[in-house]
Amino acid sequence: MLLTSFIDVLLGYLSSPMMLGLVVLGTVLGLVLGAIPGISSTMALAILMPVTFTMEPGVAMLFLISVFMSSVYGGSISAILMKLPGTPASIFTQIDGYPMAQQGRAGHALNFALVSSTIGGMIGLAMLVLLAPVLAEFATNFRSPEFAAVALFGIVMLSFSSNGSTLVASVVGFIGVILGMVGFDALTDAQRMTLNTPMLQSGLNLVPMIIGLFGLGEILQNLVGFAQTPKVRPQIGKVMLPLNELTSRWKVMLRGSVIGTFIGAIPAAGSAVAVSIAYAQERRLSKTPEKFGTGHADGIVAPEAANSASVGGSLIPLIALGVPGDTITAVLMGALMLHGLTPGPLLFANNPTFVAWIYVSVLLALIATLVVGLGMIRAAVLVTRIPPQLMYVFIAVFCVIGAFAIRNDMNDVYVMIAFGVVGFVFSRLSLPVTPMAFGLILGPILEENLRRSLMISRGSWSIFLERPISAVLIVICVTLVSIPLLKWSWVKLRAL
Amino acid sequence: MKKRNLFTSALCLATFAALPFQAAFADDAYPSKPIHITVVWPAGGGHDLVGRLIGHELSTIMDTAVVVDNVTGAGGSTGIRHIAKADPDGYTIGVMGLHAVSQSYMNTSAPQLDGLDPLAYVSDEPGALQISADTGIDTLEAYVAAMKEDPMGLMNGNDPQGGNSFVFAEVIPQALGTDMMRLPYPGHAPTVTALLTGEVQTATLPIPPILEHALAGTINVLGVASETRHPQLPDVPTFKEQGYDVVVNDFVMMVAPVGIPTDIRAKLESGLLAAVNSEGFVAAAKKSGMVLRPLGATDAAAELAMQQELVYPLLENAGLVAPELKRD
Repeated sequence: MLLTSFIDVLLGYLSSPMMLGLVVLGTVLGLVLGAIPGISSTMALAILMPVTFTMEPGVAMLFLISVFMSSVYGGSISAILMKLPGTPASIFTQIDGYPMAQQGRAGHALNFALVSSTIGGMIGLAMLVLLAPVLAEFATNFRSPEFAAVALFGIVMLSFSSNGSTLVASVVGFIGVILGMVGFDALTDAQRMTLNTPMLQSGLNLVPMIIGLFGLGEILQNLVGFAQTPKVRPQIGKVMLPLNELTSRWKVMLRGSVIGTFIGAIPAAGSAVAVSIAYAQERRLSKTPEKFGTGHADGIVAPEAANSASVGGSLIPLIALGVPGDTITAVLMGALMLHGLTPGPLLFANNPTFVAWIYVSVLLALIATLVVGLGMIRAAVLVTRIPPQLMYVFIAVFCVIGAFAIRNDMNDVYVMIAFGVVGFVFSRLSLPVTPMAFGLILGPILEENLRRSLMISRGSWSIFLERPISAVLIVICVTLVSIPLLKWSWVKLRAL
Repeated sequence: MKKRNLFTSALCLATFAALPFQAAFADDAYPSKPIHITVVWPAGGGHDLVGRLIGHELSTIMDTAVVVDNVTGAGGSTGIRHIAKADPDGYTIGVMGLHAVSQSYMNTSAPQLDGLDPLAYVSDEPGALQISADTGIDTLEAYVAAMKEDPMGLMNGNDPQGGNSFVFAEVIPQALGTDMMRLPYPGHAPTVTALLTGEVQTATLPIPPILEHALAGTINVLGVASETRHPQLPDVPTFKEQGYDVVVNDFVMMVAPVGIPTDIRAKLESGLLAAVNSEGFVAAAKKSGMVLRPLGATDAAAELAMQQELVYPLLENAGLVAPELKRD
C-alpha cells in the first residue's frame, strides 16, 4: 500500500519538470541560507515558509524538505571553509574540516561532508521507512531519566573528545556545563548568574558562543602570528575524491548514521546532540585518535552522516506520533498547519499518500543536494583563494551577523566577542575548546532532566537504575570511566 | 493551476529578495517600508504561527512587505523589550500574551507593560485540563475523585512559573478543590510529548497544542475554563457546566511601542483587525484551535488591564512576585 503510493508519487514528481525545478530551487536556497552563519535550518524554513502559502500541500512539503535537507549540508560549507558553523548541526564538522581545508584539501573536505551527508540521509530515510513504528516505540520510552542518562553518556564521552589530558578536557567541559546554566532556569524560570542584567538573562546561546570560540578565536590567533609569518594561501587541491577514500570509511558512515537516526528520533534531542555523540564516539573507537582535530576525514564523516541521518530520525515522531522531533520539524508542522493539515496521530494514519509525499521529498532532496552540492564545490573552494587579510575581515563580519541573526539580539554579539577572546586565550594556553562545546550542548539537557527525574521519583536516585535504557547507559558510563583506572591498576600490579 | 503556483511562488521569492532594498524608497505615506512583527518565541510555536499568518494578510491589506522577527530569550522579555524600545513609527509591532504580564511582576529587569500600546486583541486561549487516555479516566468527576483519594497519584505537566499552563495549573485545581504535583517542562511541545509518552498523566495546556490528539482520542479533555465550549471541541463541557466556577485564559494581542502618531496608529489598528477578520486567517486559526475574538485598541487595553489583575494575586500567592515589584 505504502510502497505503491510511494512509487506513484515518485514517478509523478519525476515526470513533472515543475516539481524537479522546485526541488532544485529549494536545494539552492537551502544551501545558501544554511551556509550563512546564524541562519539555522529552522530559520531557513521559517523564512521560506510564506513562499509556500500558495502551493498545494504536497508541493509545499517537497519544497520545504528540500530546503531542510540541503541547509544541513550548507551549514558544513561555512564550517569547513571559514571555521564558522552555518547551523548548529555542523558544530563538529569544522574541527577537522577547517584544518583539512587549510592544508589545501578544501575540495576533499567538502566532498567528504557531502557524500557522508547523502549516505547518512539515505540511511536515515531507510530507517524512517522501515523502522518508523519500532523507533517511535523506542522514542516514547525516552523520558526524563533516559534523557539525563544520554546527556551523562555524552559528557563522559567528552573526555575522549580532544587530544591531551582527560583531566583538562573534563575541567573545560565542566566550565561549559556551568556556562550553560546562565540565564533563566528551564524548570523554574529563576535567574541564575545573570547579575540581574537583561544581557545575561537572555542566557548564553549556543550559536554565538560557538561562533566566538571557534571563528573569532581563530582570527585573533591568526592576527597575532600574522606580522611575522605571512600565511601561504592553501592550494585548492584536487576537488574530486578518490573513491577508495570514501568506501574505506563505510563503518564510520554507518555508525554516524545509526547514532544520528536514533538521537534524531528522540523528541527534542536535536541534531547538535547527535553530532556531538557521533563525533566523540568515532574518536573513542579510532585507532588514531590523535589525528582528530588535525584534518582527519573520519572527523568530518561521522558528524556529517549523523546530522543528515537525524533528519530522517526527527521525522519519525512527527509521522508516528504527531509530535515534532526538534525545532526544525516544529516549523514543518507549522507549515502543514498553514495548509490546513494539522499533524497528529490521525493525519498520517489516514493519509498514506501524505506519508509517501514526505518520503519521496526526502529522497529527492537528498539526490538534489548531492548533485547541486557537487556542482558548487568547485566554486566554493575558490573561497580559500581569497587573500587571508580579506578573508579574516569576511569571517569577522560573518561572526557578527551570525551571532546577531540567531535571535535578533545585539547582546549575542557581545557574547560572541567575549567568547572569541576566550577561544584565543585557550589556544594560547594550549587548552582544548571542544569539550566546552560538549558541556554547553549537553549540560542544560542533563540538568533539566536530572532535576525533573528526581522530582518524579521524589528524590530517589534509584529511578535511573529501575528503567532499562537509563540503567544500561549508566552502566556503560561507569565502565568507560573505570576502564583506564583498571588498566592503570593492572599495570601497577604487574610491576609489583 | 500548477503553472500559476510556480509563478506566484517565484513572485514571492522575488519580493523576499527585494526586501532589503525597499527601505531605500521610503517616503511620507505610511506604510512606505516593510512592517516588522516581533515574535518573542522561536519559529514554529503558536505565537510564531499567529505572527506569520497575520503578517501574510497584513502585507496584502497594507500593501507593503511584512517581516516576522523572532526576538527570543529571557522568557520572552528580550522580545518585549525590543518592541517597547523600538521607534514608535509604526514599523515595529509585536505579538504578546500572558507570559509578558507574568514577567513584568516576576523579573525586575523585564520591561513594564506601560511601555506597550495594545493595538488589537486577537484571540482567547482558554485554559483546559487534559488527561492521557491510558489512565482510563474520561470525566472530570472521576478525575476529582481520583485526586481526592491520592493527590500525588496523577502528575501534571506544565510550563515553568509564569507560563500560561503554569497559571492554569494554579487556578484550575483551586476551583476543583484538589491538589496536584506539577512537573515543569520548557514549553508546550515537550509537555505534549510527556503526556503522550506517559511521563505525566495530566496537563493544563491550552487547546491548540493538543487539539489533534484530543480528536484522535489519545488525550481526553476533561474541561475547558471558558464561558462557552471550545468551537473545535464542542463535545467537551466547560468547567462551569460541570459545577466548578473557573474561567481563565491566556490571550494573543498585537502591541506597539507607546507613542505612535495617531493617524498611523489608526491605520495599523484597522489593518490588523482586517487581517484578523480575513477569510484566510480565520480559516487557518480555526484549524489550529484558536478562539478568535477580534477587538480594537481600546478593548484590548481593557483586556490587558484585566489580565494584570488576574495574574498578580496568583503570582503573589505563589511567592513569585519580585520584592521590588510588589504593590502596596
